[in-house]
Amino acid sequence: MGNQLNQNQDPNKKKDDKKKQDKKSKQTSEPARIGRRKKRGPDGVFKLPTVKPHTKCKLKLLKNERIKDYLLIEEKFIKNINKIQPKKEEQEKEMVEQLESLRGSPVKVGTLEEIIDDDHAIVSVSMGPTYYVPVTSVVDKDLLEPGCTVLLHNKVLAVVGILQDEVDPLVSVMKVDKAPLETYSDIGGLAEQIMEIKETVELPLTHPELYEDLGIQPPKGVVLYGPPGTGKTLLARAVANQTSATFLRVVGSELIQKYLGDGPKLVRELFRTAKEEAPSIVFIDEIDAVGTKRYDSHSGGEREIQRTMLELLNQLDGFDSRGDVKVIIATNRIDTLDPALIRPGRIDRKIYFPLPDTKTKRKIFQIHTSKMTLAEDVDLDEFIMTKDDLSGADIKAICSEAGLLALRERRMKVIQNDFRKAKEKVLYRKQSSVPEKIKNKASNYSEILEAIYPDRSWVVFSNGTFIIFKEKKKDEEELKKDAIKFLEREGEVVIGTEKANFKVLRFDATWPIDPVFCVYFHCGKKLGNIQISDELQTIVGLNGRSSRQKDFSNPVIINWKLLGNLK
Amino acid sequence: MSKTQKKIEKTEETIELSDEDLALKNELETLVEKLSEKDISVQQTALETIKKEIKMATGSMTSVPKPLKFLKPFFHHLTNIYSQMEQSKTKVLFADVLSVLSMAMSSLNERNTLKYKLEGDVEDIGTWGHEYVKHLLGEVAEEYNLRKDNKENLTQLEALIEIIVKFNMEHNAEPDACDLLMETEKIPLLIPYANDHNFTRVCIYLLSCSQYVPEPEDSEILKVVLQIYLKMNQFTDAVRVAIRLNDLESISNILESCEDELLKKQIAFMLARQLITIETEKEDLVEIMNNEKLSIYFRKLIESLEITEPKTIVEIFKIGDESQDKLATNVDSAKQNLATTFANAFFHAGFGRDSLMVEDGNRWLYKNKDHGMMSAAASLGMIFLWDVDDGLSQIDKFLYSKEDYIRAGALLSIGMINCGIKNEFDPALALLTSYLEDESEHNPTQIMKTGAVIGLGMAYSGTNREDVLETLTAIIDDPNNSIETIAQACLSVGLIFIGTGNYDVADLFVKILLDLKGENLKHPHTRFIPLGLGLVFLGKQEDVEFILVALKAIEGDFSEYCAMTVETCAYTATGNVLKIQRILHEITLSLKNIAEQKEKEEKEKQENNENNNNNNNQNQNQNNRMGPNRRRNNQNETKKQEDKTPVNEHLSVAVIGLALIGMGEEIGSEMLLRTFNHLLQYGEKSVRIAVPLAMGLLYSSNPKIEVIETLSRLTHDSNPDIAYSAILALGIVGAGTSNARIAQILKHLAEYYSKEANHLFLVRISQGILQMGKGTLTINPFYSDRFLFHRVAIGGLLAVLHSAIDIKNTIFGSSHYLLYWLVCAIYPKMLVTVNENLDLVKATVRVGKAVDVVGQAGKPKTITGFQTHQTPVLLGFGERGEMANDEYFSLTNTLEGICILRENPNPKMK
Repeated sequence: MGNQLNQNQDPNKKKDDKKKQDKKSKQTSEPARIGRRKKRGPDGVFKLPTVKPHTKCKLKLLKNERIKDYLLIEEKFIKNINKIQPKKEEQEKEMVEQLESLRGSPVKVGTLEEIIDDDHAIVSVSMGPTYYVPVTSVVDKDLLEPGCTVLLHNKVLAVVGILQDEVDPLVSVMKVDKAPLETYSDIGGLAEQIMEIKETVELPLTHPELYEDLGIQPPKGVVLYGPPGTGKTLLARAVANQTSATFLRVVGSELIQKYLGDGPKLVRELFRTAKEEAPSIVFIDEIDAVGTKRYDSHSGGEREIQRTMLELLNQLDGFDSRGDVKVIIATNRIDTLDPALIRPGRIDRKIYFPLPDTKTKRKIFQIHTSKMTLAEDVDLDEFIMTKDDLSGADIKAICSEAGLLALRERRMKVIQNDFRKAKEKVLYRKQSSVPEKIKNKASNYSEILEAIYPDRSWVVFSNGTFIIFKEKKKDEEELKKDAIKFLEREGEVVIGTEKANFKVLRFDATWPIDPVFCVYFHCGKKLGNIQISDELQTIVGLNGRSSRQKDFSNPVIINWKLLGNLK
Repeated sequence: MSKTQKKIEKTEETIELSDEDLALKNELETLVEKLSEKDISVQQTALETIKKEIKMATGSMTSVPKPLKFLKPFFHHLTNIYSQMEQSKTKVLFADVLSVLSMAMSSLNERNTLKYKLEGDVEDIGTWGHEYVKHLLGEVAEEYNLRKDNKENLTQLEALIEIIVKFNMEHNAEPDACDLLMETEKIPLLIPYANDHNFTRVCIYLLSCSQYVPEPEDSEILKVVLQIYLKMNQFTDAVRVAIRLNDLESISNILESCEDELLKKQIAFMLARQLITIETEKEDLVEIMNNEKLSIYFRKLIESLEITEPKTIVEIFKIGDESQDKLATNVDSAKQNLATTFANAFFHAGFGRDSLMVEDGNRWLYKNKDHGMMSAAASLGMIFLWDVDDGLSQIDKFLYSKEDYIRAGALLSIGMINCGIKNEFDPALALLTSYLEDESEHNPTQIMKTGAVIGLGMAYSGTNREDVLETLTAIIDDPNNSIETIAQACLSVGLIFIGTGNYDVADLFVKILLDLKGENLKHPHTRFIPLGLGLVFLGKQEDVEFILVALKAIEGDFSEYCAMTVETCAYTATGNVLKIQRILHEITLSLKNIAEQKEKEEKEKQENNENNNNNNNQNQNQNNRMGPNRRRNNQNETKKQEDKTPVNEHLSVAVIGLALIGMGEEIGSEMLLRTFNHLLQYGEKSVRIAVPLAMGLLYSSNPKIEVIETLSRLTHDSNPDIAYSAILALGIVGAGTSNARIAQILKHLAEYYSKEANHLFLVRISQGILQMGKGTLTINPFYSDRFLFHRVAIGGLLAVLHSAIDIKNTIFGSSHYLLYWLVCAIYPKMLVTVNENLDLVKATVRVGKAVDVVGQAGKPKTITGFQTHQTPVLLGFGERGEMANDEYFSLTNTLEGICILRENPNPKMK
């Protein structure tokens, strides 16, 4: 670049150039390197030197001041030079005009297929025929590479310019330009989580010296996990609101692309943009879309998804340094994630978002009701103290539902009854597929079973596991004995509260036990076409699973907790 | 963070507090109420509870501790209570608490933390943690300078400063302590607190700070570091600092106070590198300081690297079979032979063997003509560099040659061999002086005198020898001598008295400069006179002012040239931004003048359609440009006719000066590269010619990719002068590195320019310089972890670069011997380990890229990407070595050059 530019800018030299040109016509310029695009990003020469140490100290100040001094000098120099060479501007204008005339109008867009030599190339226009065309001298040949998009003259199809798609348009969409409105104050509770995410994401970007002082590496990323509606995305939005760093957000499913290789490419582009605009934060929501455990798969689609994840793994902690890029990923199902994805070094911190406890619930209610006009009779404790598993999202739904109800009745205040109805409605929606009769009748576990299987017997263990027999037996003692015998017979059943403790049990059709229910704690066997009643599916949270998936390799525990939701 | 913090605080206030927080808040409120009671004992207990609460609140580092937050609203209330209290122990405690509280208050200008701390318990500052001390420190520094300006009482603050410094030094916060003392200009206070654990960190921190502080302060810092090192008995490190300070007295003190004989020897090695001689009676030390064994160690190095075999010139140039004919059928075979001579000399520098000169020197000698013979004969000096005994006997035969040129070359080579080596018999002085006396039996011609003069300069550079000065003064004062000889004599004087600021020498120079008249002012060699003067004041900074005033009296534009040369030399390696600014300003002004001139010129052109030649002459008169007379060289005359651009050589010097000032300091070097790019874009010819040279100076023997790329671009510049300097600069940037990328570029250039005699000449020389000593040498003036610079090396480099400004009349003309000035900068980039008897031992060392560990916590690695080698080993630019096992102890912490090892009596690993 400099070579050409300088020649043009030094009119004085042109004179003697011309005389020599005959003699040295072959030697005018350095042979251009073609086909290899120069390293992207700022030119090495124009990069500012890095300042060490990172700790706040006078040395750092002095070094930065030195850089500033030099920059000021440069600025003044260029200003003065431009002042004494005003003519150049006119010349430049002329040159631009000339360039425009050379370029012609309108221009066409084509793809560069191959570069033949310094001045010629093969281009194609919108999937049409290919042409052998000249490359005009105004094009920066260093930037030409096969496959790039070029501007073509409308008549002769000569290459007159290059379209530089520096950033994938998909990535530029991910950039959060407008900060979300949520702040940390909009989050009820989660003080611990906020603190952890601040330490991991914000502080390393704003105060790297704190970590340097101690001689530790700041964490590189966090995974946020927990049941739905507990505020994972909300917290990420609060981070985006709070930080001045570039915030890139993407949903896991966005990374799955139509064409082979597009997904990994998008991941690369995403992180490249993040690095260029560093300091930056990349937030990947619903990471389980791409981040599930690897397994042998036969479908090309699945393999592509796995490849996308592999690229993600590489970007998170690969050969190149990640720099000032922090990563936040969020998921409901951390257990399905590939262990490599969340190993320390890639994702250093795992932050759990539990369902809110009463204190937190109160806070969340407060946040949502603080802007509402409440009647005096409203006592939120009623909802706070219930045993229901209310997530943050549920509470928000209840509050807005209550408001809507009040609105329906044209009241300016929300009364307690609105809340009650709202809660019913919200919880109904949550469990809408639960049959009415269960909901009304069943107040405890036994009642539910009674309601569904009036003609059978069952035994319930204290941890909530239950066994249902094929027929009704009157004698409770005998029932229990049978059940225990059954358990003893196998001797393998460990009825713990934890899934991990659950042992495999063989299934025997001759046993006096309903095979359907055995499924829930017997595993490892395909059961064939067994019909499970809809009601029970709902109860055990097996909705839509059994019909599709006959391999019950993952046991489901039925316990009080689940049933408790039904009431 | 403060912004976010405030935001959070604001929003958090609106939210109702959790139960625990509420309880805490209530408790604090009651405590505050209690405080307002009159009873002292109640107050005491209340205060103690508050203190406990604050201390217990560890919380997170992302927000203000809760007790502080809750107490904030009561701050004014509390201060009121405080002011009404009577003086007592409780009040002191109260003051302490208030001091901590003020930290959370946002009113920065009041410096309340400090105010209450002074009234509280001054001794105890560590109770409240680091954050508090940091805060206090900031306020102290501010208050101190304020009070100092107002000339108020400082004793109270000074006491506090001592306490803080003590605390910081004990708690791994050395940089903080240093910062505070630097702010308050009390750095010597550090000395008593330096101990085994912290002195290294303190010292490296201070040392790197010293590069960035203004003039008198930097040497103050260095002096403190020197004292700390002495206190810790780190003699070798102390010597490094003393060398940097150029403080001969401290050096000899250190040498005397050091009791370990072996350590003394190590120090002597370090002094030898800097060409410093301290008078001592111990012969072994003198021997080391005289550098007598340098050649032996170097030969051992190349032996162990197995590169002693000489190479033919075809191998050096890496010419393939097919293009060998090209070499033979060259346009200008004399020139190519000369280039071959130089390349061969540089390639085999110090080896004592080659394929051209040593075995059958006469044949090759007579392939050259006139001045070429001189350079060819002189190349022996390069080949036998540092090897005084062998070298002298080899050269001896040429001294009796019939050709004056050969004898001149032999004289030059005598000096070259002795470069950096001292000998009690002074063979160089004895031999060379005899050729300088007109009446002597040798009947010296002008060219022989020139050779002898240069030889003296090389042999005695940096030695400060008065007797050599006398000899040279005689030459300078003799009006019969040609300006060429006089100029070289001046340059030699400059190198001998480099960086001394010797006033007598300065007087001598000013006198010559003022006496210069007419033709002499424009002679291409005249430039070396101001350069010599500049070298005398190298790094002298403000001491040079009076010289600058004197230089104003010089006739015409040459005055400007001299002033620029001398001034930039005086600020060498200081990184003085103000000077850089001033120089750039001058460049802008000159460019402005040129632009205006051009405008006029063009107008005139339009008005009177005169012929080209006349116009050119006018232009010359108008510009009154100084610089070389262009009529001398018949060979180049035609080319010069074409070249109509005016030459403003002081601009070239200015650009080189930029590099000179900024060199040695990383940030400055990198930022200057940016500036150079602007200069390339906006500057006119003489600026652009100098940019590659300046880059060469800035990155000598340090092939940085950005620099190589810029230079490689410039080698194809349509203006041959710029291409010349770029080609030479490529050689200098890669000097002694055998950098593959540069080698490739030069190889291409050799083909590209195969029909251009001058270009090819330079490409060949650059190829030689690139592979200098087969890649075992360096010409970078900075050594010892880039902390010290070798003045003589800078002088040698500058001499070559200054001659390259007008390359057509110097190096392409008859004065190509000027390239040999480079010898002053040459030194092996070796790490040689020797045992107590100074015999070579093999030790295992790790060599890797040096890491900047200043201000880092813990014990970070000092090198990265290391490889393990057996000494002797080569150290590239920016590389550092460290001992790989504990078989030996090194006597110096900076493993570079020659290091003495002491055997470990009980090593753990074997």
